[in-house]
Parts: sequence; C-alpha cells; structure tokens
Amino acid sequence: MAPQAVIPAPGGLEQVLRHPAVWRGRAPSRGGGPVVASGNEALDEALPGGGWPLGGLTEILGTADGVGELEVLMPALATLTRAGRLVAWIAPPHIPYAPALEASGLELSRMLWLRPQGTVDALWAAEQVLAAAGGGAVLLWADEVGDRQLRRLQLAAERGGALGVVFRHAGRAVQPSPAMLRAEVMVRPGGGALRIIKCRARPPAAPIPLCGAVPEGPTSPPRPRDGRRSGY
Amino acid sequence: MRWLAAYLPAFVLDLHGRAVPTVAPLAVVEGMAGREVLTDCNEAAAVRGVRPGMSRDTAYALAPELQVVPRDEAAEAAALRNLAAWAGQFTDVVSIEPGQGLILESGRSLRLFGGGRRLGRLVRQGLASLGFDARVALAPTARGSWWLASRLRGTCIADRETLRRRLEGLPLTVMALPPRMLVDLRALGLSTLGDLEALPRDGLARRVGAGVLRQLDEALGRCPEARRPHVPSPRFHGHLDLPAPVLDQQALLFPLRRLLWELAGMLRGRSAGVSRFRVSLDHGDGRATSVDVGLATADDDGERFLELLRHRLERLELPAPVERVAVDAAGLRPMAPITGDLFDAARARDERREGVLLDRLVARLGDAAVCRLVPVPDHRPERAWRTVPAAPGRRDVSEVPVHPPRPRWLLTDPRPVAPPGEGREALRLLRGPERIEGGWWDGDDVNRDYYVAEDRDGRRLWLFRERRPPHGWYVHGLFG
Repeated sequence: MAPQAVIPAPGGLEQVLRHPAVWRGRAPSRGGGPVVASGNEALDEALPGGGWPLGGLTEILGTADGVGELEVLMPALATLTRAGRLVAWIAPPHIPYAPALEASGLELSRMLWLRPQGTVDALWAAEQVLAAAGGGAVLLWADEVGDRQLRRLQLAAERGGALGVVFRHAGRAVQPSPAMLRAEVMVRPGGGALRIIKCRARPPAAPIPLCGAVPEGPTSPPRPRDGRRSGY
Repeated sequence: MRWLAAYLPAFVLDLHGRAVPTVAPLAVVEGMAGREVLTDCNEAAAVRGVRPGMSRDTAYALAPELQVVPRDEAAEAAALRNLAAWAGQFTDVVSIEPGQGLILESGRSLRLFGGGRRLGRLVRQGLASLGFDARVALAPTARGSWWLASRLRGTCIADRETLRRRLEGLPLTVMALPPRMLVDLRALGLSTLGDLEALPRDGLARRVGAGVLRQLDEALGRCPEARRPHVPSPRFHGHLDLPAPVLDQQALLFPLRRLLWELAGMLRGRSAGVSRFRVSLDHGDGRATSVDVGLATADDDGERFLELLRHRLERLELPAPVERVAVDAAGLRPMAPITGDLFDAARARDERREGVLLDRLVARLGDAAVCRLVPVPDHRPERAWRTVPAAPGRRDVSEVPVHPPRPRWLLTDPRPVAPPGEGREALRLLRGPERIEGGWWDGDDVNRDYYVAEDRDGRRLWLFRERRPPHGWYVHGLFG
C-alpha cells in the first residue's frame, strides 16, 4: 500500500497552530474573535487568539513617546495595510515619518493621518473610522479619555471588526478600563519589554522582551569626527 | 397599464409652501399690481374664509398673516422640469403636462418596481417627500391615466374595458376644452364622457370638431397619442424661496433637503453621480453665501449629500438672514451599475464605503486635518515626506530608495540637547555618523551628522550634530 502523501502546510506547522480556529489541548483557551499576528512569537503566544484583537480596543501605555509603542504594532499594521485595510493615525504626538514607516512594510496609501482639533473631534473620528473602515485599525493618541468614551470606542471596534489602539500614559494603568487588552511598553537600556496588564480569557503573562536590536546603519562603530571625547 | 399619471392638484401652492415644514395661510394671485385676484389658496387660508376670486385686499382683511405669492409661469415650468428629471429614476420616458403634473411611460418599470400599485405608491411618496401632493393613476393609455388622476386617487387599471367603464363616469371637465365649448356641450345636456361617447360620432364631429373626438379616442386607446418626452438637462439647478428670512442653519436644512432629493432622483434617472455640488444661500440684498461640497467619490445619495452639507453648515457663520436657497450641480459622472466579476464589485463597494467615510471626516475636521503621507526623494529628513489629500482606494507608490535607519517619529522642530555623555539625558551613541548635506540649491541647506542614540531610560533617539558652528546637538526623531 502506497504511503499516504503528506501535504505540507504552506506556512509550516507553527502557522497552522497559530490559526485561531485551531485548538490545542494544552494551550490556554484562545480568544473568540479574529486577530492579526503581532509578528513577535512570544507576544502572539501571550495574546488570546494569537495576535492583536480585531473587533476590540487595545490600550497601550507608556511613560513617554518613542519607547517602542510603534515597534510592537508595526508588523500588524504592515499586514493590515497590505491586505488593503485602512489604518488611521489620529492625533499622534509627532510626525509619523513616511520613509521609516514605508521601510517597516507599511503601505502608505492605506494610511490616514488625522489631525483633529481637540479630544472631542479625535474621539469622534476614531469612532467613525473604527466602525466603517472594514477591519482596519485606528491608532489614537488621547490620554484624557473617560471610561464612557473608551466603551464607545470598544463598541465601534466591535462593530467594524477593527483593531482599536489607544495610547495613554503609564500612570493610567491603575485606572480600570473597558479595553479588551491593556499592555504597557517598558523601556529599558538594551531593549524594552511589553507587560500585559489585562487580557481576556487568560492570566497575564510575564513581560515579553521586545526586539532590542540597534537599527542597521551605514557605518558601524560610531566615530565622532571632531575628536571630541564622547561619553558612550 | 402602461402609463402612470401623477397629477399635482395644488402644484403652485405646494411649490411655494414646500420650503418650510409648517403650513401657513398661503394664496396665489394673478393680475396687475394693485388689482390682484386670488386664483388659489391653501387649506389654512380657506379656514379663515379666504376664497379664490377674492381681491388681495379682501383676503388680507380676512387673514392678515396671509402669504401671497404671484404666479410665475417660468418658475413653475422650471420646477416641473426638475420633477420630470427626478421622475426619470422610475422610467425612461417622462412627459410634462404643463402646470399640472407628469405622465410616465411605465411599461418596463412595472416589474422592476414590483407592480403597478407599488410603483404608484413610490412615485406618490417620492413627490410627497419633495413637498408635492400628488394623485396617481395607472392605465393602458396616457390620456386615460391623466384624466383618471385628475379626478380620483390611486386608480390602477390594467385593461381597456375597465378603463372605458371608469372613463365614462368622469365629467367633461377632465378634457382640455375651451370654456365656450364646455358651455355648448352642457347646453346639449351632456355632462360625462359617457354621454359624449353615446352620441353618434358623425354628428358630434360636425358639432364640436374632430379634436374633441380625438381626445376621447386617445384616452380610450382607439388611436395612438403622440407625446413629447422630456429631455432632462445634464445640469441641475433648483431653488426655493423661503417665506420668511432664516438665520438658523438648522432651519435651512429642510428646504435644502428637498432640493438635494430632487438632485438625487435626477442622478438616479441618468445612472449618474456627482462629486461636487454648490449650495447658494441668497441674502436678498445682492449678497450670497456659497458652500461648495465635494465628495471623495461620485454619488447619487441624497442622504449623503445632506449629511456632508450639514457638517459644512454647522461651521458656517451666516452674515445675514437667508431668503432663498439654491442647489447647483454639473459634471455628472456615470455610475455604472455594479456588474461584472465579484472582485470588482466588492472593491467598488469598499471604495465607495471608504469615500463616504473620508467625506464625513473632511466635512467635520476640515480638509487640512485629513491626509495621507508620501515619501519624497530628498536627502534632507524634514523634506523626505509630504502630505497629500486623502482619497479612497489604493495608490501606486513611487519607488523611493530605502534609507539607512530612520525614526518612525519625526519631531516637528529639532530639540536641542546636551552633547552625548553630558547633561541630564546621558545620551549614548549607538550608530553613526551618517552625513546628510544638501539643499544649497533651494537655500534651505542642511549639513549634519546623524546618529542613533539611547537615552538613560533606553529610549532610542535620532540625533544630529550641526557641522557648522556652533556645532549644536539636536534630537530630530524617536525610533518609537
């Protein structure tokens, strides 16, 4: 009898196992809704369903801007934009820098930069995009949002099957929040980590280390040219 | 039943009353200035004792708040042409009965709209939403349907025999006859179409002329009737005079809604959409406020037009009360019915949905607040990007060379910092330098060495050092 042919899965076993429809006995129960993979295996493992939740609100906390809050999301945003989904950046604290975002794999033609005047308009815009963008993502920078407003965003994200992300200050961690998922980006010399504060259907895991590699540069050892003694 | 007649029993009154949701006493007058005579009045005027035939002054004495409008045949004809264009969404062939209504050839529309009664209801309700009361009749002949509609409500007749019986009961006044002839016919003891039909044709033709017989034959379907179809204009203009000046934007939405609904019907009739329309708010003193509304994708949806307009109006400061509102649209674009393969259809739907979203965002946040980013091939970091207006769908992106590490956040203004190793931030250089110089050609030259650095907390920063004195250090970006 001829041996039965084994058809290899195109993305390998890991990818099959990460699929939200696949349930593994030992693994903690996976969340119900669809997700978008975070691109970080340890993080996917820690997130219910194996990725950032589509159809829910995620809160990302940090002590400052530029601590790695974009790094953790970039692969997921690249996936979404390449699938034709819209990703809206609402009231970001600085200029989202096009050359770097494109180099990270983001398809800029699917990215929207909104600069509303004031939190009321920002929240309104976030709700509109979440509910209507057809499974895209909204990144909203709004520290001063109340419980009720977060709840509205959560509902809009559910309605639109979208990834809703609100960036707030780490000090908000102690306040309760209706967000489906809450995580804090912790910055440390030599590479940061992501601590999951709250997620559905599983106990929070230990902080997940984030890739701390120094971005590739044109010249490697730094060599100040004027002979000034540098302090590194 | 191939013809649908929509008779507007109070066309002129409705035309002037439809700009406001409330019904106030209203009368139409004709005649020389100072000696005007009422030709028609509405219910609200009639309960105060106002009657057609009265002089204007008598009517004013009875109802001081009476609003009196003069007949304006040109305006009435224009309004009826707009209604005919609007009715084009129900059929290919619409003809106008001057001053009174429309006749639609409905043969092919019956199945599409789910039968004669349903089509009749749609037309009647549609006209009501534009502010016109209509009586609708369906019948096998155009003239027959018109005569029925002019006397009765909601008649729907499928066969000629029934049509003949129903027409025979109608009075002679439904015919378009000179008043003298009507008197003559009454003198002969004739009062209904049935009476006329019962007389010998030869004698009748001699007595009243062949024209009367021909009308009857056309109505009964014994001979064909030539009707001139209305050819709609490729532009839209509609306006409404407000009975009293209005300073409140919300109150303007009511008449504007009616005009936008007319526009939407006209667009559907032509399978077209517009991506821009203009609303003019006339202040009555020679000044007008114009509001241009643009859409990301061409559309024919009156509700969407109104929503975008509402956002614009909310942010508008009216310099004076408004006495007339107008809507203009040109540049019709074909809106192909979604056919073809499934993928195209899904994409067209997604793009349309996205267009609706973008319009809504622009309407509330303003044009400048809604944009996309594109990289620009320029060595100077602050010039290596720009914004473009948001538009739905995917765009081809020009290939831009991949640069050495670039931060995802760029600071709007570089922030001065202490040199690495010094000061509170204790910056540590990780990579660099990358020399960036250029821009002498447009007078905005830079000459800098860029570094990737880490601060005391572990944040990755993008620093540069000016190569020109005083050689300051600046943070230009965050790796985020």
